[in-house]
Amino acid sequence: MEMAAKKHRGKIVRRKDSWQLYLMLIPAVLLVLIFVYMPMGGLVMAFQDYKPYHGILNSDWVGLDQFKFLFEYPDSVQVIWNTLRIAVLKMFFGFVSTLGFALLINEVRRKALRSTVQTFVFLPHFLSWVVLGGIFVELLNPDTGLVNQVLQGMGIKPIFFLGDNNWFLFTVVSSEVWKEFGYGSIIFLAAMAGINPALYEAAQLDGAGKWKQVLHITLPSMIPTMAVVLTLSLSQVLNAGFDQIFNLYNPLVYEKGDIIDTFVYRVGLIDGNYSFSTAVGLFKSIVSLILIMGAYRVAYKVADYKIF
Amino acid sequence: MQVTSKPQRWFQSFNNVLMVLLALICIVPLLHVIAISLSSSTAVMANKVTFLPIELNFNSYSKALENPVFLPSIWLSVQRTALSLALSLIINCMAAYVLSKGGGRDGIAGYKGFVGLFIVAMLFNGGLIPTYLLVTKIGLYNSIWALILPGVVNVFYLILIMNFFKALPKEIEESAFIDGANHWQVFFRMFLPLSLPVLATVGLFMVVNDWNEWFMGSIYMRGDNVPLSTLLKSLIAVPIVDAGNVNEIAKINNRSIRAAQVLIGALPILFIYPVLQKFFTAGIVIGAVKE
Repeated sequence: MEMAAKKHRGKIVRRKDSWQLYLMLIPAVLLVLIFVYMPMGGLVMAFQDYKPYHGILNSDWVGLDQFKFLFEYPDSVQVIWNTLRIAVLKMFFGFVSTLGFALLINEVRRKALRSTVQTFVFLPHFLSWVVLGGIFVELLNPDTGLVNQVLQGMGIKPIFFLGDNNWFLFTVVSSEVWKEFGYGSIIFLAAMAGINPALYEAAQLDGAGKWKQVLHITLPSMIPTMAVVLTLSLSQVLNAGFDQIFNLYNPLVYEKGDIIDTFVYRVGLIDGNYSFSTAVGLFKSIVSLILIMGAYRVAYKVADYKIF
Repeated sequence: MQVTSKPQRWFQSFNNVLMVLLALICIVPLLHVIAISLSSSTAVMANKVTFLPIELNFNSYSKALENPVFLPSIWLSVQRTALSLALSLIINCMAAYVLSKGGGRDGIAGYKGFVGLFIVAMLFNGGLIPTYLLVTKIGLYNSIWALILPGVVNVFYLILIMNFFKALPKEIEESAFIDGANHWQVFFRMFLPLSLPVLATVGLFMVVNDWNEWFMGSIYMRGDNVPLSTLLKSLIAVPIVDAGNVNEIAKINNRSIRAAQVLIGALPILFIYPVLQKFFTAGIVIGAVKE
């Protein structure tokens, strides 16, 4: 809501002290220019065969060769598929678990129980994957971990959760769901709190049971929120979760567990293949950018959701 | 009061039990590791420890702290978190104040351009390698500023604060201007004090993020000069080469010491969590309903 600008010969007359505003804006602008925009210039490396001792100015140009390599090299193609697989699984189970939990906790009538449960289920969100990595490595150890001891007690052979490719996928998806289902439910709880109670009263008078109320009032009222959450998470389909994977994976599970971001890190910073790594990263950024802009457009259309 | 039928009461009790189970699932891994960290290593090795410490002692904690890089890394993390918090809050708030004025009489020329600059920065960046090369080339390698400066401007928080500023009543600000106050005075004496709840929320999130952040430490800092999160990452990382030698590794790495290290890393978060919990629901709601 801007004040009606006073026009004077077509120009806006600003307050005399508006120079102070520029001064206040400068630090943020400078930091963004240096740490976000200057590296964007470095993206030209993706079109070069960058050699550190030649620098960006004197390295050879190779056009789109790095990108061609990206789609021909079996490892990088595998990595793209891994990323999509992990991200889609996380998205699906994340959405279902978050929504389900929100609906169920909303039915808890005892306030004390409700807030205690929430206190516990929100906690994992705030712990870093370094800490959780340490906890899961301990917990999931095939010989000494608590989980496998319990399984053994039930007569099930120990499972190498972090060292077997198929189990790794399961571990990554379920630990992510475990970490985020509580915290993610906040947005749905907020949406539910905003539903007009008169709707429920009317439904009760019409003899609708709890289940019918959820089906015909709660869920339909939450469609805009659900659409926003879903589209925004769809735009993250190339983000399979670097923090988590990097803290849980190991060479045994590269086949299914290596994702674009871990690949970019290894190829670039460990193997020193700067140009190829930058090209992979750029590919991911561009696809992500298109997805995010599309998602924002959809979210704006269905729910009037605007970030700016 | 709602009238509850019998099947509904059944559902209520079943649901309550389910919720308690979920809460336990979220907390049990942590309890197990706490128990391990407080137990004697013989009890741990014999796999006797579940949720209660056996032969309670604090040896693993003192052993963890004996590592000569451990205390310096905690100190680096504290400094980094504090500096980041102060800089981020003031810089994002100032920018938010300016942008909340829009492009009209009270605002700045080129408003749309600046907004675009921040939005693009939120959606797109140079990626890992170009950013790494830049940070090291401008001489920040192994400097605490490499851990701070790249993350100071956070466009999401900036927008959140800006929307809060926009929602403040215009009248107070206008009367201050009429009384001869300038932008600095209005910003520091009115906007900041009026926004304490939102600043507390954003600040707590910043503290959590900075304390937990480990990746920058691993690429921008020398191995002997890293924040705690990065140190933990290297201490905890178990090089699982194949299933056969897992036994060997388990013996070499003392499990209770590792548990203690992990918990020291999580301690500040656990400590501020009660305060955090009060604020973050409010924060999300502020971010979601705006305007």
